[in-house]
Order: sequence, then C-alpha cells, then structure tokens
Amino acid sequence: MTQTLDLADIQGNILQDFVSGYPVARFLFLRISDAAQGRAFIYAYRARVTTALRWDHSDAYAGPIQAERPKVAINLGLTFRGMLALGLPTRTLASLPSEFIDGMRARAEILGGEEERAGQARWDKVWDEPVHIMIGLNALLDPATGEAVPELTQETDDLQRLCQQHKLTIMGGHGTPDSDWQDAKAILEQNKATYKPVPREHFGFIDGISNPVFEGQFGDANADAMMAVGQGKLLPVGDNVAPENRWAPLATGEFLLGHPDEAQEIPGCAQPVSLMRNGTFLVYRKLHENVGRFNAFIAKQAEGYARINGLTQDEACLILKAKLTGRWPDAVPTAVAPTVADWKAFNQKHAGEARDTPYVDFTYADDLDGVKCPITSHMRRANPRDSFDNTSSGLINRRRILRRGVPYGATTEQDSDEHGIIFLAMCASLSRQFEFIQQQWINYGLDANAGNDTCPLVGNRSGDAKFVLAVDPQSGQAPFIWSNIPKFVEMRGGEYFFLPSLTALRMIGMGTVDPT
Amino acid sequence: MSNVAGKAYGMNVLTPVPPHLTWVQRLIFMTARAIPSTLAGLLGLSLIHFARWVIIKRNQWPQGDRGKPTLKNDYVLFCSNFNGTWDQYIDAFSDGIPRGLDLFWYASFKYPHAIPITAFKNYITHNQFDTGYYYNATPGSAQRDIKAALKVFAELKSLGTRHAALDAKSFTSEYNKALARVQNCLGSPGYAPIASLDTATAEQNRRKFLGAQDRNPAPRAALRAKKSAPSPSTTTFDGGHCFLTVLLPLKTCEVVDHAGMRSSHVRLLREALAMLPTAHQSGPTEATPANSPFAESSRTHFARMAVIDDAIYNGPVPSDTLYAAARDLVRGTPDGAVIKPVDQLPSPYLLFSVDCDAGNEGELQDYLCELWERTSAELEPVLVNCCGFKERVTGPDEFATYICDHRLETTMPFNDYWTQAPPLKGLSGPMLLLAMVAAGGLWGTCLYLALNQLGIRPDWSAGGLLSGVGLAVSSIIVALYAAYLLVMMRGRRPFPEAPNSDLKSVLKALYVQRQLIQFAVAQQAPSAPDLYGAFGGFLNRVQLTNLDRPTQAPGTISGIIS
Repeated sequence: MTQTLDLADIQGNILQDFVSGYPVARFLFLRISDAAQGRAFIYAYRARVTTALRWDHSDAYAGPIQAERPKVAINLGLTFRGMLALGLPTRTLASLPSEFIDGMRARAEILGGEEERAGQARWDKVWDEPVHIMIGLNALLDPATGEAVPELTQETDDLQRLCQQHKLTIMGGHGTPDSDWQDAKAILEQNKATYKPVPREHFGFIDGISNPVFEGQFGDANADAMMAVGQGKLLPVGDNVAPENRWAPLATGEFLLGHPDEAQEIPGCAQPVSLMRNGTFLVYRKLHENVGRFNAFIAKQAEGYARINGLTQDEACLILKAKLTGRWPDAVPTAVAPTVADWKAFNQKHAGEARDTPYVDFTYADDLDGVKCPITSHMRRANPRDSFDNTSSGLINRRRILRRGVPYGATTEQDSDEHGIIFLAMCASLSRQFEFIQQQWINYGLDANAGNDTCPLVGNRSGDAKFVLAVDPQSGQAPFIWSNIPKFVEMRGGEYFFLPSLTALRMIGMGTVDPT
Repeated sequence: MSNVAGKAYGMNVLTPVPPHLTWVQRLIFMTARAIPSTLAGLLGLSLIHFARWVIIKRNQWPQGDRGKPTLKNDYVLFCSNFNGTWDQYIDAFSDGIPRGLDLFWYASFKYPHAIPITAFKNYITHNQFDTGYYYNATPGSAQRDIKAALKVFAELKSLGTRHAALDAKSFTSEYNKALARVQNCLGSPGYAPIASLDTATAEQNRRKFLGAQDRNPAPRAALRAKKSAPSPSTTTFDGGHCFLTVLLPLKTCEVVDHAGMRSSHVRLLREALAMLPTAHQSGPTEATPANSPFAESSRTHFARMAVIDDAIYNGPVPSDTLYAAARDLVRGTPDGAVIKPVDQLPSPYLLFSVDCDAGNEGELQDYLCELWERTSAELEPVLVNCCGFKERVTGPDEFATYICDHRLETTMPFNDYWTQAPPLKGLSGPMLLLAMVAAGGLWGTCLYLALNQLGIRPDWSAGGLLSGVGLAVSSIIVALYAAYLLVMMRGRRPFPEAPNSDLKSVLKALYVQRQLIQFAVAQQAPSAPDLYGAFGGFLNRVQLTNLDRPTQAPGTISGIIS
C-alpha cells in the first residue's frame, strides 16, 4: 500500500502546481564561483524553499493544514554542472543519469533533431555559459493591479544580496531586451477593476487541464482515487476492476525518486539514495510561439475546410484548432465532443461544475480511427491513454510527465515579440519520460502509425510536414490533409534541473554528501 | 559496427540452457506455433519486422580449426529486427506481454523474469552481443510503416482495377471512401530518430573511412520464378520467407600480414565488417556513394553479421542452500566457493543471419547463388577469414553449399507483415483431447489384452493392483506423448505467406504510398472530372502491377528505380 509522503521534505510545485495560485513567476539562473561559498548559499537559502506542506483545503484535499501560505513560493533546482561546482563526490556525480550529465543543449539531436541544433543559434544569451542553479520565484497576483505582490521584488532583492554575499552571479541574458531574469505570467482577464488569471496560452488554448495523478499526491487513497479519474492510469477491465472503476493513481516512483514505480521496483538512482530520495527532475524549456504565423495558417486552411464542409470561417477555424490539439479552445476534449454541436451540449451539461473531471474523463477505445480526436493531434500524441492496446494504458504508464508551465510575454500578432511558454515538466527519469515523449511521440509518428509525421502544433518541420484530419469512413468524405505546416514553436533555451528534497539541500549545503 | 540500421535495431542475445531442459523450450516454441492465438500479444505490439529464436544444441556448433567444441550447455540464440529504442522495445515487452517473454526464455539459466524491469534489462545487456554489420532493405520504414504501405497498396490496386469502368462522379465517391479507409496509413517515410548521440556521432565519424568508390551495379535480373517444391519440413522456412541462420567458425591458427601490421583473422574480419558500406539509411550514410552489397538483392529484407567471441556465461546456478549446508555438515567439508565449469567456445564464430524471400530449399539455393554472383567482391574479404571458405568456395554453387553446410535450423521464426489479423489456424482443444484419448485408449486396450493373454488381470491383489496402476499410468504417458507429438508436428508446419510480404512487393508498396500522399495532398476537393483524369495519370505513372519499376530501391529511405 502507499506510504504517506513526507510533505515537509518534498519541494513544492511537484505534488501541487504553483501556477494556479501563483500566476506570476520569475526564474533566475545562478553561477557558482567557489564551491564552499556555493554550499553556504544553498545552506542559507534552503529555509526559503517552499515545501509540499499544505496551506489550504480543496475538494481534493481534506487533510491537515501544516503551513502558512507564502506570498512567494520558491523552488531551487541544480544542474549537473551546478552539482559538480558544489563539490559533490565523483561517485555521486558519475552515477547520475547520462542525459542529466549531458544537459539539454547537448541533447539537441534527441529532442528536436538537426532543427533543434540549428535553432540553438537563437537561444537566449543566458545559456552561453553553463547554468548551475535555478531559483523559481512564484508570486501571488494583486488583483487590483494585475501585477505580482510587492514581496516578489523583496525576494528578488534578498536573493541578489545573498548571491553577492556568497559570490554567486545572477546570469543575465534572458530574452530581448536582455534581462537578469525570466519573467512569466499567466494571461489575465480584466473584469472591471480586477484582474484574474486564466489558464490560457498565446495560441488561445486553455492549457494544463490534464496532469498525471500519483499515489500519495492528495493525502489519502480516496482523494488520490478521485483525482485519478481521467488522469491516472487506466487498468484493464478484469476480476478486480469494474468498468466504472478503471482509473487508478500512478505509482509515486514515476515522479518522485526513491519510491516504487510502475515497473514494480524502486528504480536505481545516484548514490547515496538519501541525496536523491523525494527529489525529481525538472525540464525547463523556453518555447517561443509564433502567434501570427499560427493564426494566419489556421485562417488559410479554414478557408478550404469551410468551403468543402459548408461552414463559416469562424466555425472552421475553431474546428481546425480543436482537431490539431485534441481540445476545443476552452479545453473541452474532442474525444468527448467531436462536433460543434457536441461542444455546445457539453458546455450546457457541465456549466457551473467546480471540478475538471468531465474534461479529462475519457478514453480513446471507441475512437481508434481518430475520427473524433485525430491520432496525431497534440494531446493524443503526448498522452495516448489506451490507444496502443485498447484495453489499458499499460504501455503509457511509464511515459507520463507533470506539467507546471507558465506563459511569458503578451499576446500579440507580431512573431518577433517576446511571447511563449516557459514549459516546465517533472518526472523521475528524463530519458524514459520527457525525452521519450519529445523524441518518439512529438517529433516522430511511429507509435501513431504516422511514419515520420510530427506533432502539428509543436513538432519539427523538416521535410514536408503534414497532418491528416481523419473522417468517418462511412461519410463518403475524403480526409482533409494539411501540408507544408509552418513552424509554430521555437526553442529559445532550456536545461535539465534536479529538484532536491529539503534533506538533500541540507546535505549539499553542509558538504556531507557521501556515497560510501 | 552498429546495432542500428535506419529504423531497425538488430539485437542478438545468446542464453545458456541446461541440456535436460532444452526439449521443454522447444516444446514451448512449437506450442506457440501450434496454438497461434498465444502470439496475439506479440502481434499486437507491432514492433518487429523479423525475429527468430534458434536452439543450438551443444554438438551443433560447427568445428573450426581448434577441434570440436565441448560445451556443457545448449544455447538459445535470439535475433530480432525491431523498431524503436532498445529501452522502448524491452519496456514494451515487460509492460505488455511479460508472461510471453518469460515463456520464450523459460529454460535459460538464471533468467530473471520480465518484471521488475531493471534486473531484466541487466540480463539482456549481459547476454547481448553486438551486430558487426547490419543491413536493412527498408531503413526509412518501420514495421508499422510497411503494414500501412501494404494497406495503401491493396486499396489502390482495387481502386485501379475499377477506375476505367467507373464514371467520374462514382469514381470520386469510391476514391474518397478508399482514401478514408487508409487515412491513418499515410505517414511519410524518413530518417529514424537518433538512437543516441553516440550512435549518431559514430556514424558521422565512420564516413571518411568508407571510401569514395562507387560500385558498378550488376544489371538487375527479373525475379526468378518460384520453383514449386514440397512444403518444407523445417521451421527455417515460414510464411514465404527463409530465416537463414548460419554459424561460421573463424580461423584462429594463423597470423596474417595486413596493411603493414601483423593481424589475426578475427581482427581482420571485424575490420572488414566495419568497412562494409551499410544501406543509405541516414544523413551521413546517404552521403557515401556506395550502398550496401545486400542492396543488390531484391530478396533480402534484413541481413546481419555478428561475431560470437565466446559462449555467454551468467554465473553458476547455485544449489539449494539448505541441501548444500546439510551435505557439508554430513561430510565435514568447510564452507567455500565451489568451482563449476564455465562453457567456452574453442574459437569465435561469425553469425550470418538473413531474412530473405525463399519458401523452400530450391529457392534458397537460388537466392544464395544470386547473392554470390552479385556481392562476392564485397563479401569475400569478410568470409575469407572463416574456416574452409577459401578452399571450398570457388563459385556460386559452392557458396550455396558452404553456407548450407553451416546452417542451423531456426526453431521459432516470427514475421508480421499482415495487414489484417493473420488467418492462423491452430490445434483446437477438442482435437488435442481426441488425439490424447485415442492414443491413450489404444495403448491401454492393447496392453490390457496383452496382459490378459499372460493371465494378468487388474484386480485387488498386489499383482493385480500393480498391473492396474501400470496400465493407467502408462496410458496417461502415452496420451501425453501423443499430444506432444501432435504439437511438435503442428508447430513445424509453416504459416501461410502474408500477401505482398516479399521484398519487391513491399518496396513497390512503399513507393506507391509515397506517390499517393503527394497525389492526395495536391488533390484536395477537386472537381470529379479533374480527379478522374488526374488519377488516370497517377495509375500510368506508378504502374501498380509492375513490381520491377517504378519502385523504391532497396537499402534506401526513398530512392526510386524508375
């Protein structure tokens, strides 16, 4: 059975995302110049790192409240180079996963082929030198101003002081114009005099609806089971599994090191285990969005699509956007509501519901041809659910990632403007989970029976990029095929970080990491 | 040297099996073939082009120049051509069909079971040996891509025959329906995602060693007509393909002067393999003028050559601790390591494994002769390092004989190029039961009558009871043996050939699929007469029924023979 997680030892943002409650984020990258000073910084700063202790109840959490809501929630991550600079033992460093040691820049051909390698010419300058430490500051929003609470500036100042004291450099070169940090903020809606964050990104889609759910995440088995509907793993119907009870939380070890994972073992990790336990790996990718290009392409394809199907241009745009991602712009899944009429019916049916379950509770078993949700749409590529064997998500369970991203910049039609998503993902194994999805499912089509075709939304564009909108074979219509799809998303820099537990931070800060 | 060729990974695994369990492993394989519904999980994964398991009994290793091999164990050789990464492949089996996997390695020493995964991956890593040379005739297309292309090919052939007879409006309707039926089969071919940074780097670095000379390709002969021959009784032939497994002992008794160095035949063979051009399967290899010599063959799906340096050892199987401790106590012997013998091959072997189109012995002879005719210049520098090659192979027929002399029977072949669920009929439960009852009953009756003649009757006396029990037990044994024989016999029967699964048809299908994609993209919502006319032009251009041209060239991502 599941163990209760030591919430005080696990960093925040892993079990529960920060972005929902803390819509304003600021990422700073630090460079250590002296190992002892670096360790002293870690030792001092760890008191500010937010843990997973809960400060509020929700319909998914009824457990004890054991922390106060901070004004700024903070994460601390380390790169391999950072761990090397902090003087960790050779044996520890050598036993870290090789993709983490390589770092994201070196992994370009795996993550995005030649295209990603070539795109590194446009990376922000902050990545010119190896990054050692990431500090993620996540601040509450002041609804009156639409800006972060003043504590964000306070925390930034404190950090600058501490860095100066311990001879760390805050690396500049984020974006254009050059900045000493990467600011990010949820898109805001203004209602009279108040600002409210909406979980939308710049292409206009509501994002971050579905995230994996794992054992221990919500405090007790019932809560985990409830949240696992549509988001956990899908069990095959069998002796102990009734058709309406197929969803279960994933194993903790898929997202936190030192716990049993879906392969029924505690996977090996670097030595000593106490350094890695309750930690996880973080993917940071700054993804620029070519909003103007995207809208123009959709509009152009919509003309042809509208004509063939007798639709208005607006309807055609919405349908094409829905087919491409797998969700309508307001996150209703096409697998549940494939047509505009279904979409309207869904919204009427679920109007005013508090929880997101209807948005995630579906499978693809009745849509093997991809007529409702195209097999090569973004969502279905990233999480195929039961598509592979139609009975369970068995082949997918070890390929899930937690998403914690935040948009940055303002939504404009100018592709040269600074706007996009700071994509953040967390998993226990970068190569098995994140890199696999990125290389095999986003930038390749084998498992979707689509040859080399890439994700129409975020994939590479070498060769003649195409996307097939499947139709019902009985309808007599021909499938609609997009070709020469332009590149909508460009990578502007990123790295792999390890998010240590609070115990690990102490050990690193004290300089007592010892794998003997 | 690389285990990767385009979208396929060539895995070779050798596992020791205790000789008294080999028959069990063979029975498991034959049962899987005799009751093909057991293969459903494997077929569903759609990861494998061709795979094989070969039981190598300890006396089946050919003799080299160091005397006869004396091994204690039998071995199971596993060769697979699969898609996806190494980890993905093993994950898929462990997550998807762990028990099937456990069955196929049931008898192997210290096999750790498929779950949990880490021990299993360690076992595979330990028992895997590298492919020295790997050829893939369809490097830009995974098994799923080939099946998709075959579906498109079948659909287009049907549409093609109906085109002339239909009017424009009806044709548009038929075309739309056909396209909708294959709408999820239109993935474009291309390079494989890189298996790792290291593989990509190694391939890049190899380029400058492969030389600039192009070959003078021999003129292509038309596909030789298939000779009719009796259905083969060996599982080396299956589904119209030959799963050729050959072990050639390497010369070890002499040193050789080569390129100003004193070298050995084993070194030279490895170097020759490293220098043999692969298919045009990636950016760096496409820039090399020469294609693989196997690309000259229109019947070779996959080929590999790998050096088996030695038998692979997994450590001693410990005896039961309590028994061993008790024995120590009784004998008064102290604790300590017990040295158990380690199998060793007297010389290395070259594994030469081919998945080709040959349905019987005659076609295999033909295939081997043609292979030698076209590729002797490239293969000779490799094979001359094998015992007996130089002396015996003076021409194509001698080559075929030499190869067949070193052939092993492929115990369990596997190939899935079926576009629908394959029509594999197996033994039914009732049939098996009938056979058992018949055999057991016949034996029991005969024995009873014989005993009767001798005056022995089953009754409650001691002798009678013994004869009664003997009658029952021996009847059961005979029944089981009959079942065993039936399964073994049925298992040896070759599976039917999947339509269009020969290489020429596969290449044609891949070519046609690519042409259709271009056509479909260009023809979005055309008028009926326009579509009708354009499709007529399409048919003219692609020549659906001509497998020779235009078609895709073997050993290329998307090269065309026009």
